[in-house]
This record gives sequence, structure tokens and C-alpha cells, in this order.
Amino acid sequence: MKKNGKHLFIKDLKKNWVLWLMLMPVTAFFLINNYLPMVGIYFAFTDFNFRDGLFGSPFVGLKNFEFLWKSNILWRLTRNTILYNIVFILLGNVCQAFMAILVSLLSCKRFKKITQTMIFMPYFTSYVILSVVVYNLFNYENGLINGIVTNMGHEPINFYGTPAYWPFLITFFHIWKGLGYGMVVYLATILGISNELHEAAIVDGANILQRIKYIIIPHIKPTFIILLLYAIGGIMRGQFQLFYQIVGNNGLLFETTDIIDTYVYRVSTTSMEFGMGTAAGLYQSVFGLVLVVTVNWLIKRKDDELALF
Amino acid sequence: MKGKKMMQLKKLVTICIAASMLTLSFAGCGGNENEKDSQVSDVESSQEGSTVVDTSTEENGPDLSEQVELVFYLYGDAPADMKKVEDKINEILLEKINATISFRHTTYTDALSKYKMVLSSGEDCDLIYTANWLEYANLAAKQAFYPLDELLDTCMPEVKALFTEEVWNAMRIDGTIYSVPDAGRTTYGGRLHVWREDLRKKYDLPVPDTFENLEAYLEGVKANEPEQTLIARNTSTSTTSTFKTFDGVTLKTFYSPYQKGYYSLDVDYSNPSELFDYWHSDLFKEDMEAMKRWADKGFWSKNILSHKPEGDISNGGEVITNCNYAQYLTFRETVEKEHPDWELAYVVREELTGVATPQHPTTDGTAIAFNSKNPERAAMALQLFMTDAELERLLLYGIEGEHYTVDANGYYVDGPQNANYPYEGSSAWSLKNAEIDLIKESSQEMYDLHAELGEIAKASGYPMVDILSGFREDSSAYSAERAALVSVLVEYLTPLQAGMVEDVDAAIEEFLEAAETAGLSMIQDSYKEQWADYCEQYGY
Repeated sequence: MKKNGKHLFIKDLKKNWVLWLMLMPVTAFFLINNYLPMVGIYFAFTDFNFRDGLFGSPFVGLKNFEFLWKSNILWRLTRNTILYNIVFILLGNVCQAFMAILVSLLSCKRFKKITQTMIFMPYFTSYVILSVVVYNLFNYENGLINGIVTNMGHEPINFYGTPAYWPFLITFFHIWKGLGYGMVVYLATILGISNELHEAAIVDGANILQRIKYIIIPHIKPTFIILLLYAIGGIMRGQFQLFYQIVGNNGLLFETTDIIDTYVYRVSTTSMEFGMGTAAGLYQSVFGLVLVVTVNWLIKRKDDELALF
Repeated sequence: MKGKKMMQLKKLVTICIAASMLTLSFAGCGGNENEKDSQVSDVESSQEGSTVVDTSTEENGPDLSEQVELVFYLYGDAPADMKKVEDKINEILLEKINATISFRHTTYTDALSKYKMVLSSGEDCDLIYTANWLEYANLAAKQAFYPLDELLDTCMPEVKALFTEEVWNAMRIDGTIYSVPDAGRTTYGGRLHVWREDLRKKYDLPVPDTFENLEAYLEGVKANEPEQTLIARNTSTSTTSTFKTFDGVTLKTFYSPYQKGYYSLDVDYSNPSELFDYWHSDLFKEDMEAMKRWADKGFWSKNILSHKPEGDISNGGEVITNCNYAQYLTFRETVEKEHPDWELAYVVREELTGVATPQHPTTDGTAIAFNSKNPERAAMALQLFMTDAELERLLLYGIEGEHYTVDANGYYVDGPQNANYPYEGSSAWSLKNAEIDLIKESSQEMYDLHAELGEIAKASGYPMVDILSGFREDSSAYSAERAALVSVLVEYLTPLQAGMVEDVDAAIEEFLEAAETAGLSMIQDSYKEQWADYCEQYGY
């Protein structure tokens, strides 16, 4: 089989050389951008200095990883990162699918377009602007929310001093921002459903809810699962911009808002240790890899068709 | 004409070689130097050796025969007319050392990260601005810069002569000079509390020369003008100097005679070898209680940790600030222009505490990047920038008659195009040379103040050195603990300093516990040991 495999490859190369040639740019892209930089992982194991360069610097083993558990917050960072991402992925996809169904069912074309554009807009706002919006809504002295609260005769709420509010706020703004973008994929899937199915269902007397339940949802289920699987690969990667812009260096909120990425940023910008940043990145990657392989294996056991590899 | 220049060049090269041979032989003799030193000079001597071969094989001064392009990295944002000035500079440089230079600025935001990026990525960079607050010592210890000891003798003899051996020693990191300090006027710290004097007079409030008076002043302003923002300070993760994470706390520590040291180990200049453990002291508790009181009184916004209010004292953004004299002058100028009915006044910290120290030479400097392709030419350019009045003034002030003029008394006066290239707008502070540079008439009083502070410094035990800034910590033994501690500071110390905690005692306990877990006492012990060695070595 193996001998045959090699033989087949050369044969295939001869036969489909145009296709292989077309594959070249993509291969080069991934080699240069995704595989070549992997050499930099070695940073995590050295005490880097400029003169000796990457491979000349002394090897220090796992010393660069120590800072991750020194302050006993590795658990909290991992927990926050994963929990946020699980909520982002699940709730995000559900909301996107739901909005896609609603938009697809609108019959007035102009209204449909306008709605879609409006939902898409937040995707283009930068996180810096988002942070200003959040600040103006929630600040203590003259935020909009506290303005309403005090007008109703209550004490103002100290959002920027209470960690408990932030998981909800951050989740809300993240989903709000990505809704329009994520919706597009589902919308495309729904538009791909043959009209005959709907017509047949209407003839059979199905109402709109039944059509959603028996036609649309089964059709978007594979899309949902594939997007979910892709997203799980990045589950250890926090949304740095989102958290850093909204929370910044406000230590009061770290209990619920500090993720691996913001922690690494704080540490690597305040000390000269290149190795530590890389070490944290490596931890994220390895953990993420284990997670993807595990989830994929679980799905494969249940339904071979849906697994990624 | 050309022949003459060649002759001069040849002469220069010969002198260079001779000088380098001389230093070489000295380095060879210096048997009692420590290992690291001799290692460094070994590396240099081998490099120097190859240059010697080069110059001897090519008779007519190979160094300058080829035109090279240099890159000079400066801090901050580039002024609008930078390119124009750069062209002028290049005309002169081409003629003098057959080189052109292009200036790049790091911009103000995230300057330190960009520095590290430039130095580690191998990007073209020959000359670069350094500062102790931009981690000069750490970068140098990690070999980011080119060793200058040889180059000073060979290519920058005039620069070398500008400073005393004491200053050069202060620039040394692990025995090697990596950066050339500025040769401007000596300044002595000079931290100021600047406040709105018109408000103080209007409501008949005390002069904030003690902490109690400051509190009374702020309270008075708050009571009379509740809409006025009192204090707008920043949070930062800065660990380079004082481990402060909320800037507002400086309003309290301003009145303390201690110099803020690393890891809360403060220095009392009357007895520098004894370190004072601030975080474990009653003073810390007292300070944090004061900060809580201030926060509760509403002296700063409850959102201050996430969002610094806009504005500064010159446009009504706050009523008291902590700055140096140059900043005060800028504020005053703005106030005179925009709000003529306002008034600013100040007290000087050194005058209140009776402790003044000169600014450390590493505060401003110029280094040659380790990956520079033409270190010799870069060194020559640096020498020209620091000693040639025409070049120095071009870079610092722009084009005469356009961006500035000089009045009859020799003071700098804004020119018609000043906005496009303001005074020292290129941020090339490290090239200042008191012999040839220009000052504004308005800053004359600042130098007068520094002369006064110099008198205070003389009265103290150590008039010539800033002991704390001269110390370089070697954190390699506890880098993991240090990184963990930094994170603890942002999380626990910031809210304490900003007075955002319910119960100060409990919060201090929690903070110290977390710091202990991160390894505070281990860090402090190691640091104290290093400090003791340092004090012993220099006799403090």
C-alpha cells in the first residue's frame, strides 16, 4: 500500500500538474505565514539576547513557563478564556442563525436589505470606538444607564468597580458586533434551500414555525456544526482587542475579565522577557490542539460525516 | 579641494588606527579587569583587527569612499517639516562624512514596544535614542546596542572629551559604554506641584505645601465648584521606576523625603545603604487610607481606572498636577494665551523635602544599534550632531529664519513656520550640548531654579550622583517572580492606590498575600543583596 502510494502520487502529479501548480501559492502562503514562524517557538526555551540571536542564546528549559503558575492565576486565566469563548461560540452562532432565519423570512426586499446592512454595521466599528460607546453608557458619573437609574430615584451603579456585570456586558457587545458578519453564512445556506420544499410544505398546510422547524433548521445544522468545530480550535485564543479596549488596566475587574492574552500582554510589555510571551503562546497552542483533537474524536465516534479529519 | 579632504581623511584614519592600537595594548595589559570586561574587549579587538587590515590595504580612506545611508530612530512624533530639515541635514552630512540619514519616529503610543521591535527584528537602524525610562540598562544588558568604548576613541574623540570619566562610568552597563549622554545643562529632578492659584485666591484656601493643606485646597475647590474635575490621572503598568500603578498616588508621595525604589524598597538619601520597606510599613497604610478618603470625597472619578478624563491643568481638565518645570512652562504659556484670567502657582518638591539629586546621565542618550551596518559612520554622524552647531541646531530647532530666529541676547525666538517644527520638536534631546544650543528666554528661569536646586544638592551628602538611578538591577534570578508580581500590582495595588476598595486594611492584607505568593520576599532579598553590593562598591 505504501509503495503504491508513492507511485500514485507521482502519477497524479503528472496527470494533474495544472492543479498542483494552482496549489502552489496557497502552499507557499501557509509555509511562510504558518509553518516557518513555528521556529520561533524556540524563544520559549531561551534566555534571549540580541547579540547571540535566537539560537545562540542560552537554553533555559522550562524556566520561561514558571511565571504562568507563579501567581496562581493560570487556572483563572484558562477558565475565563475558555468560558468566554464557549459562550461566544455557542450563543454567537445561535443568535446569528436565529437572525438569519428572521431576515430570510422578510418579504419586503428593500426592508430586508436595510435590516441586513444595519445589523452588519457594528462589525466595522473598531474596538477603540466600542470602548468609548461602552464608557459613555456605563460610567458612574454621567453614563446613560446611570442617568436613567438616578432619574428613577435609585443610587447609581458602579459598573467599573464591580466585576460581576462584565461577563454579561462583554458577551453582549461581542455578539452585537459579530452578528451581521456571522449571519451571512447562515443566510447563504438558507437561500440555498430549494423553494420547492417550502411550496410543498405550504400546500401540506405547514405554518411558518413548522417550516422553520422542519425545513430550515435541519438544513443549517451541518453549517452550525462545522463553524463550531472551526471555532473550537481557537478556544484558547482570547479576543484581546475586545477585553483590552473595554477593561484596560482596571485591576478591579480582572477576576472576571482577565484572559490569557491580556495577561501575557501585561507581562511582556512590562518586562524584557521575550521568552515568557512565547511560552504563554505555546501553552495556548498546545492546549488548543489537544482540545480540537479531543472534540473531533468525540464527534467522529458519533457521526463520521461531520468530523473535520 | 578633494585632494585636501582625502589627506584629512587619511590623517583621521591613521589617528583612528593608532588610538585603537593604543587602547588594544591597554586592554591587553589590564590583567586585573574582571572576566566580562576582557571578554567584551576581546570581541571588540577582533572586530577592530579586521578594520585595521581593511584600512591598511586600501590606502585612500575606505571608510568614507562609499556613500552610506543611516537611520536614526527618535522618540515621539515627527514634526511636520521633518523631511525638509532632513534634506538640509543630508546636504551637510554628504559633504562632511559622505552619508545621508533618515529620521524615523516611534510615535508616543507604545514607544517602548516599538523600540524592542525595531531592535529585535533586524530592521535597519543605526542611531537610536535611549533613556533610562525606555529601559536603556535592560536593552544594553541584552546586547541590543553596539559597544562604544572603542568607537569613542576612534571616531568620537570630541564627544568623549565632552564628559568626565564619572559620567562615562555612570553610562556603563556591565563595564561597557553603550550610549552617549546629552551634554545639556545639568538639571536636578525638580518635581513640581502646580495648581490653579486663581481658584485658591478666590475661595481663600491654603497653599498646598503640605499634604493636609493640599487636601483642604481640593476640598475647598470641590465645595465651591462641584462641576470642576479636580484630578485626572492615569493608570499604568510602568515598572521601570517606581512600581506605581495609579498616578494619582504621587500627589501624596510628593511630600515624602523617600526616593521611590523598586519593589517598594525606598531610599532615604541621608542613609542610602539602608532600604525602607514601604509596603510593609505604617506609612503605606496611611497613604492608602488617604487615597481612599480622597476617592470617597469624589476628588477623582469612580471610573478613573478604566478611563482617564480628558484635559490637563492648562485647559481646566484638573486643578492640580505633578510635573517638571519644563511642563509647567508649557502649561503657563497655554494658560496665558487661552485663559488670561487664570493663574498657576507651584511648590518644588526638593525645597520642601531638602533632598535634591542631579538627573542621571542615562536619562537621555544616543546609542548605536547592534545591527547597524555602519557603526563607524554612525558614530561620526553622532559626533557631528553633538559638536557641530549648524547640524545640532538644524535637528533641534529646524531652519533658522523659518522655524526660529535668534534674538540680540542669543535666545531662541519662534519663527514664522514654528508650528511645523517647534522647539526641540524632533525630540532629539540626547544631542543637546550646552555649549552650542539655544534656550528660550522664558526657560532662563527654569535654569535659574535648577541652579538653586544645585545648591540644595550640594548641601546633601551626595551632590554629584543620583544614587538610585545609577543602580542597575539584575533581575535574571527572579524574572518569573517579577513578571508574576507585576501582574499582582496591576490587580491589587491599583485599586488600593485609587482608593477603590471597601476596606483598606483587608485590601492591603490581600495585596501583600498575593504579592507574597508571587515571590515578593524572595525578590526583595535578592534585590537588597545587590543594593548592598552596589552601595559598598561606590561607598554610599
